[in-house]
Amino acid sequence: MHEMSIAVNIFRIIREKLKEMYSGYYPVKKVRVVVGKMSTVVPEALEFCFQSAGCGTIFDGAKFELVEIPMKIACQDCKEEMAIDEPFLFCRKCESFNVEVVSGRELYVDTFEIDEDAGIIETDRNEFE
Amino acid sequence: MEIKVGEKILSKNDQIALETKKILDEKGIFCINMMSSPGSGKTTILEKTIPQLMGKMRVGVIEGDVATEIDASRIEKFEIPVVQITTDLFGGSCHLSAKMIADRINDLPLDELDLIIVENVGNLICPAGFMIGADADVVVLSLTEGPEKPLKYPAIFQKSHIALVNKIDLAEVLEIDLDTIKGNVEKINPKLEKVFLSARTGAGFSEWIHWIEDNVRTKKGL
Repeated sequence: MHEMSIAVNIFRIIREKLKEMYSGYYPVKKVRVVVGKMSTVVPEALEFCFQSAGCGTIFDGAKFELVEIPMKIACQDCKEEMAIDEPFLFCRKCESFNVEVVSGRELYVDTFEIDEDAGIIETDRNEFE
Repeated sequence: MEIKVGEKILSKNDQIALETKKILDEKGIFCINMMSSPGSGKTTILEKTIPQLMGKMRVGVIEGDVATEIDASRIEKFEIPVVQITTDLFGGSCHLSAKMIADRINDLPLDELDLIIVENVGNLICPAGFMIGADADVVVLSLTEGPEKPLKYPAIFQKSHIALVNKIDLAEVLEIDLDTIKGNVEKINPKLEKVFLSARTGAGFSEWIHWIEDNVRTKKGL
């Protein structure tokens, strides 16, 4: 259960971005994160942590959008690239074990939206967590 | 207004881990991150490993647990440097983060070490996501957990450099075929090195000890 520390890191990254751009904060309306299928993150748990820990902060009520990236491998022998449903690392076409993981380990904040009409906020609750 | 970020969520953790790795690289210390579920025998493996390394290299240990200093006291009897990190101070965290390691790494006498073994918190999920600055990730699975562990927790087996399959002395009692475990590990990560051993009887340890010695030597540039 490390989704809480991931949620807290999402807050930190967005706050740093806002601080850099505006020297202050705006209420956040929506956050989009990209999560690879093999990133050991449970989407439901992350959303729950995001919503709970965001209460009373600039993230209160923000929409949480999670884009899941499938696991993809590239066969080094037959050069075929394929998405896989099971985490078994072998080529589905030629059965070679000589494969590289191409995607599925992503974990990053893609974009977020702010409510500029709400006016700038100088300090946020729990901003130093 | 939409704002583009594109920043890795654990970038700060990774950055701290790389700083720790840099310190260890400069000192020529090889660092192992040992991970497994609770009760797989990590500490017992260490108790069998350390005496076989003493005299050949200087070893330090970092013990990670949610609570108590029981594991550190088990290692202290060898009179080697040990640091215990208890994550309950951080809200009972399920893994060691890069910062926890960075905050305590200097409690070890780094100028007097060749190898640091970090025994991570017993958990097969969370430690897989957090770099700590080690050179190699070692996953331990024991026969008592059942042969399907790699299939159930694939991420950690894909991330690791070597798997120690412990408690092989119980294979007959548990009616587990070691080839089944080997096959399951290979399904998840065909490139993962495997060592079958028993921390109780000492069987299979020479291969594991050689692996450590080779890596320590390579890190020192010997």
